[in-house]
Amino acid sequence: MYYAMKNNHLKIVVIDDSPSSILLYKASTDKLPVNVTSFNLSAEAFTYLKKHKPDLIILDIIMPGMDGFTLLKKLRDLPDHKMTPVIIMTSKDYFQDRSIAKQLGVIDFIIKPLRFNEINKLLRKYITSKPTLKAATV
Amino acid sequence: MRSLALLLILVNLIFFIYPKNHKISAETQTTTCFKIGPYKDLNQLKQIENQFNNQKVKIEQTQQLISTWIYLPPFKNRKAAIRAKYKLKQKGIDHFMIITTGKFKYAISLGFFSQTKYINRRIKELKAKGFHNFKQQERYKTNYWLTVKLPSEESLKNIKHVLCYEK
Repeated sequence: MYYAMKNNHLKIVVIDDSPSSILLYKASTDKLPVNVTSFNLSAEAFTYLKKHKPDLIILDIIMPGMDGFTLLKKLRDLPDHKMTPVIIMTSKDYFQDRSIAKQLGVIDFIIKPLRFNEINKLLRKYITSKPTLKAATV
Repeated sequence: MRSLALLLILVNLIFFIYPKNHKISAETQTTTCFKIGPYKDLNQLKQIENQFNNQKVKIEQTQQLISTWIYLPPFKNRKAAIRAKYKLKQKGIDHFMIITTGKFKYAISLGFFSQTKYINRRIKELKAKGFHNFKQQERYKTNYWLTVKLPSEESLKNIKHVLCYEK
């Protein structure tokens, strides 16, 4: 787990098994008013998220062990995370993945690879207008 | 974009090093191929290929397995899917979800995996617990490679060590 904390900043949790992606997220958010906590294993992230409620979760689908959707389903079963805004990051756009994401109340579905500026722009969008969510339907 | 610019410089360098009027007899000619990549954007590579209006630069494509989705195919209705869900739980199978929208409505997702060991572990678990009707959807991505063909190795001695080389 990579951890950084500053008060009054937007709390973002990034869950991605690729260390280079995590480094990119951290570099992209360096000058933004956010605290980024990152995990490369779903199980570790789940343990953390049982006790913490971030403002935004950025989640990869394909991960060793528990995949991103399964993790999100488990999170949606927790009272604290029924409405937590989640952005899905994936390397390929599949219709059924979008369906599952919609079912799980995902607010954005982004296709990788993302570049520094794209991540920065994406997060700025969520910083300026805090995302709202419909309750998950499952 | 930066890597493509570097690639362009490199390819230009190779052609610069190689004398334009140099001729090699058919008997002594060998071909050195540099395969550079993978690249995801075909259009960018086409731009490079177009700059070399000859057979020395070609684009090749390969398919790479990136992930496998394992799932139980759609059940007749929600009730049947929920029945299957309880059966999975009863057998001690964890990490799954019923899909409630789209083409795979009432299918049960059993996980997305990128590594063979996790795919095999899941399949072994399912089979051991009596679930044989699972399906696998393999997902591929297309990679593009730029193949630069040169008639001799001689001119490339100095840069061989930094590139993937195949003869």
